[in-house]
Parts: sequence; C-alpha cells; structure tokens
Amino acid sequence: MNKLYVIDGPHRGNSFALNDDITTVGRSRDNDIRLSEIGVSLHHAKLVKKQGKIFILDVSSFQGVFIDGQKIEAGMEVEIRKGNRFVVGNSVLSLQKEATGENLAQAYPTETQKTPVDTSESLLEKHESRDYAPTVGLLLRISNIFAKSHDIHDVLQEVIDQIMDLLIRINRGAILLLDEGTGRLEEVVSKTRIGPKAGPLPKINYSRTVVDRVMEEGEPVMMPNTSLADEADLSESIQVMNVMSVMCVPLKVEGETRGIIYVDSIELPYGFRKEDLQLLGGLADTAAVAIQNAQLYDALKKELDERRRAEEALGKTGQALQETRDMLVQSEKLAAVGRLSAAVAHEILNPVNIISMRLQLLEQKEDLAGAVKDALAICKNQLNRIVKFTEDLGQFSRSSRKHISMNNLNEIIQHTLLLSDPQFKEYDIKTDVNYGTALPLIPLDKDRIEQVIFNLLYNATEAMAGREIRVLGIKTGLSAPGDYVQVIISDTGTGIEDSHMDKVFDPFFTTKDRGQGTGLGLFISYSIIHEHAGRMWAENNEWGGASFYIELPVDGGHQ
Amino acid sequence: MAKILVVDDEVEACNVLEEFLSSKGHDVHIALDGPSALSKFQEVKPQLVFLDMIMPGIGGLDVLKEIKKIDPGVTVIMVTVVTDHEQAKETIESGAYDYITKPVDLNYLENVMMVKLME
Repeated sequence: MNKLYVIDGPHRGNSFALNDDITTVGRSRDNDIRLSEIGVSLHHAKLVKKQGKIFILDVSSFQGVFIDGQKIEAGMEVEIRKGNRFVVGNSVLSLQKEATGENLAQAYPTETQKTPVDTSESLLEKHESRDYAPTVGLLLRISNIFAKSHDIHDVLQEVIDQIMDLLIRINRGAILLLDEGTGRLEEVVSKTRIGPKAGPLPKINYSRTVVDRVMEEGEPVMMPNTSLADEADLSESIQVMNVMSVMCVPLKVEGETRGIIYVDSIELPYGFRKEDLQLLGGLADTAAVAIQNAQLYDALKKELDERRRAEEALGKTGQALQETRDMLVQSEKLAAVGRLSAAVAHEILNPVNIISMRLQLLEQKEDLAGAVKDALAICKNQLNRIVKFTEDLGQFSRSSRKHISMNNLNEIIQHTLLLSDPQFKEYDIKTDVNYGTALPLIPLDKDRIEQVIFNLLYNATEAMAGREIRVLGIKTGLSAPGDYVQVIISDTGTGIEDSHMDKVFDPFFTTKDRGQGTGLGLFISYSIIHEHAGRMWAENNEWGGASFYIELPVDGGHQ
Repeated sequence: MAKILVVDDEVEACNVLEEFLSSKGHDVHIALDGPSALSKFQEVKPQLVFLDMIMPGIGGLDVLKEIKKIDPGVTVIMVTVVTDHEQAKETIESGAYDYITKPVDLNYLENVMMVKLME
C-alpha cells in the first residue's frame, strides 16, 4: 500500500494515507493532509487516484507545486510515480510503499534530504554562488552590536542595514513593534533602496493582510512572487503599490508576537529565496532577544536611577541634618559662652581692677629700687593679658540689641582696610582687593561686621608672618543665585591643617603661641555672622594659605 | 579739694580709690552697697560720686537714678566692667557725667574728675 511520506521540511517524518478518490493538501484545517507551514497555501493541491494511478493537481497555490524540480502548471493533473519527489511549500513529499519498521533515515539518506529545494529557480540562477558564510558573519556582527548597545533603536537599525546589504534585490525593509501604550504596530526603523525602475518610493504602506496574518498567527509569511499568489492572500495595497514579493517574520518575545520584520521588493519578484526566510527568522529571534534585553536594561536602569535619586535625596537630608546639628551645637556653644562670659568677665575684672590700681599706686612711689620697678612692669603686662582675654569674652556679654542699618559691604571693607593699613605696613603685606560691582545694600550691624573683617584681616596678617610671599586677597561679590553677598579673605600663609578644619570656629581653639591668641576671634566672628543669618566657613586655597568665606543674606535672613 | 563718695561692693576697690584720692587731697567716703550709698549720700552730700555699675541688690543704675532725684546737680562717674556701650549710654541718659571701665587707669580717673571739677 502506497503512502505519502514527508521526507524533508517542518513535517518531516510524517506519513499520510491517501483517500481512494481525492486527497486535499493545504494549510487550512479542512484539508486531508494539513501542512501548517508558510509557503503552503490554504488550499494548495489535490491528489487524485484514478485507475490505479495517482495524479497531483495544483489548485492555484501561490508558490506552486514542483515535481523533481519542475513546476507543474496550475490546473493540470500530473501523474506522480513512486520515488518522485514533489514539493509543496517547504515540504518535500514522496510516494512510497508503507515502511515496515524500516528506518526512514536509512531509506532516505542525508544527501537526498539536503538536496536544495527551492521554489524560485530564477533566484537560484542569480544567487547560486552566494553561500551562507556571510550569514554567520552577519549574525556575529549583530550579536556584537547587541552586546555593545542597549539602545533598541540602534540594534534594530543595524538589523535592517544588514538585511538590506544581504538581500540586494529587496527595495524596502522595516521593523515594526507593538506599542505597549496604544496596542498599535509602530514603525521603529525602516530603510528603502530605489532601483533604476522604481523611482521615488512612497512611505511604506504595509500590506495589512500580510502583517495582520503574521501578528495573529505568529508565523512567517513569504510571497516570492505576488503575481502568482491567491487573490485572497493579496491585499489591495500590495496590488496598488505593485509589490512584487513580500517577506514578513514575527518578533517573538517570550512566545508573544511583539512585532515584525518586513521586507518587500517593488521592481522584481523573487526579492529573496527560501533560505532568506530562515535568515530573517534567525534575525527576528536575535532581535527579539535584543528587545527583551533592552527592556530589561531600561527597567534596570530606571530602577537604578530611582535608587540613585533616593540615595541622593537621603544624602542631602543627612547632610542638611548634620548642618542643622552643627549649627545647633554652635548655637548652644554661643549661648553657653555668652552666659559664662558675662560672669567670668565680672569675676575676673574686679580683682584685676584692684590689683591694677594697687600696682599703679606702688609705681607712683618715688623711692623704688630698679628691680621692683621691673617686677611691677611685668605684673602690669601680665594683667593686661588677662584684661585682653576678658575683653574678648566681654563681647558676648554685650546686649543682644543690634544696630541694623542698610550698608554696602564694599564700604565696610574699605573702612576696615584703612584701619588695618598700619599693620599691613608693619608686616610688609600687599593687598589684592577686588570689589564686586553693583552690590546691593544689605541690613547689618556695621560695627560688628567691621569687627569680623578686622578679625580676619588680623588673623591673615599673623598667618603670613615669616612667609616669603605675603599677599592678602579680598574679594566681594554676589553669590549665585544672588541672595547672598559674599566676601572671601585669602592669605598666603601656611593654611589650616585638615584635622583643625572643623575646630577653627570653636571657642578657645588657637594654634598661636601661648599668650598670642585667646582662640575667641574666629568664634566671635562666626557668632556675629550667625546672628546675621549668614554663613561662614574656611578652606585652604591654591596659594598654600587659608581662605575665609562669609556670606550675608541680601534680605537680612527675613524672607 | 572735693568731697567724694566711692560706691563699690568690693571693699578693696574702695580702699585703693580712697587711698589714691586722699593722697590727692580729697575728702573720701565709701559705701559698699546701694542702700548704704543712698544714706551716705544724703549724709555726706558729696560733689562727686564714683559708682560701681554692678552690685548685688540695688544696682548702680538704680542708685544713680535715686541720687539724681536727691541732687540733680551732683557729678556721678560710673565705674564698670561692662563694656556694653548701650548700658553705658543709658547711664549717661540717666544723668551720669561719664563712665570709666575696670581696670581703672588712675591717671585717667583723676583727669576726668579734674576736668569736671574745674568747670
């Protein structure tokens, strides 16, 4: 008994018994032999048993039926003999005696199976010399791009470029992806090539029939020659636009069709050959992986960005918290020292006053020995040290009433520089003053701000003693975005040690020799700026010295 | 020669000033707190008062105001460790002639006093 064996193609290994009269072959379910593969028309062919012979009839399939490489004429019954190989779509079929436990592979050696089965002879003639080594290279190149680029558009553009390079007869190629928002297919990349005949090409008007079928069924569609296709398989656009061949494969991500790769030719049929469908399918799979990767990458990047933003926000909050804590600590220090200093100044200066007056009375005695006079002088000097210290302290016991008036910081600095001039001359210090223009008048206590500037100038002068280069820089200006007036006082001294940086504004912190400084100057300066709702900090500068920054609010801190 | 009242809660401070001013030929009286300063003032009727600003109980500023009520023409010189000009100004507004700060420079004190007395 004869049976129909599928010896190559997607259904290879299947066998079908033939009806006594007519056996239908096609892609739709109502066929006796159903070959659900692209290239097979819905109703492709009929096998007819007549007088012990078997005939095949092409029922207007668009790819045709081939017997031993020869295309049969549509509508003509052609006899099939045992051993004949005939081709429907991608399936190679053969009529054989029913195998009895025989290994099919043995019956049909590999060589036979590998016989080129091509439905488009004209292409074979033109492209016979082309082997598929470039295909491997192509896939490698594209894989490399996938590895390098996470931009889905770049990757898909490269895929289209490579397809256009490889399939030289096609005129247009495009990749469409399903827009997750709208649920519509959108063109992501496209490329056209104008041949000598076609002239300017319109925007690709995709054959909806083809595209919809691929999207719906998730299977590739190939029409090497639309002029031979079923009318039903052709969309109006294909006919109107004179599309000669169309190939369209799905892009599947995790089993779901997410888009398509589409190529067509306008000028000639057979823009590609059957193997190109496999190539396109392979590219589609690779592109789908790339799409998936890009989506994962985007999701990951988004997550990372969000995390980074969250961390930044957290960092800022932490920093603000630290600054607030620092300010609180500093405020508490200020208040504590303020409370203490009034009492201390009083307690110290009263006995000092008595000692001082006693010394003055003693000095006025006329019969004093030289050694006694010397001792008295030393006592007076040491008392002066105590007095100087308590005067510094006494600045905290001043009433909190301020004399706020509108002032130009440049004028305050000019005045302070004038007062400091003798000192600069004594220490041979050059000044480099840069006044910012158009500084607004700001509300401040002129005396106290002058005291701060004077303190800083004094410190800078001391810091540069013994240094080769002694330049005191003063710069004023508006700090961005313009809500603070800034003063920078820089010296070319020895700078501030890193370990001292956070202590320089602490009360009683000093690096000066014993008796040379009380460690209150910067603390007082800081507290005065603080009272003005301003900011003050120190940095080491490029000349090896220190720079002190003061910023005072233009609105006096009252917004 | 002038009649002078020295008011300070520190007895040693009073003693030094008394010794100094006496050596210059003045008639010096002392008081160690606010209430005794007022009674002493009424008793002695001095031309000039050196008045400590900060004292326990009644402070220098209150004593000043009381003294000025009794004798608006008296010369009061405030002595203070407080370098606050605000407070010092307030004493001037309340009728003090001047203020000097501790530690007191005796020469300066004498100068201020003599300038006033020679008016």
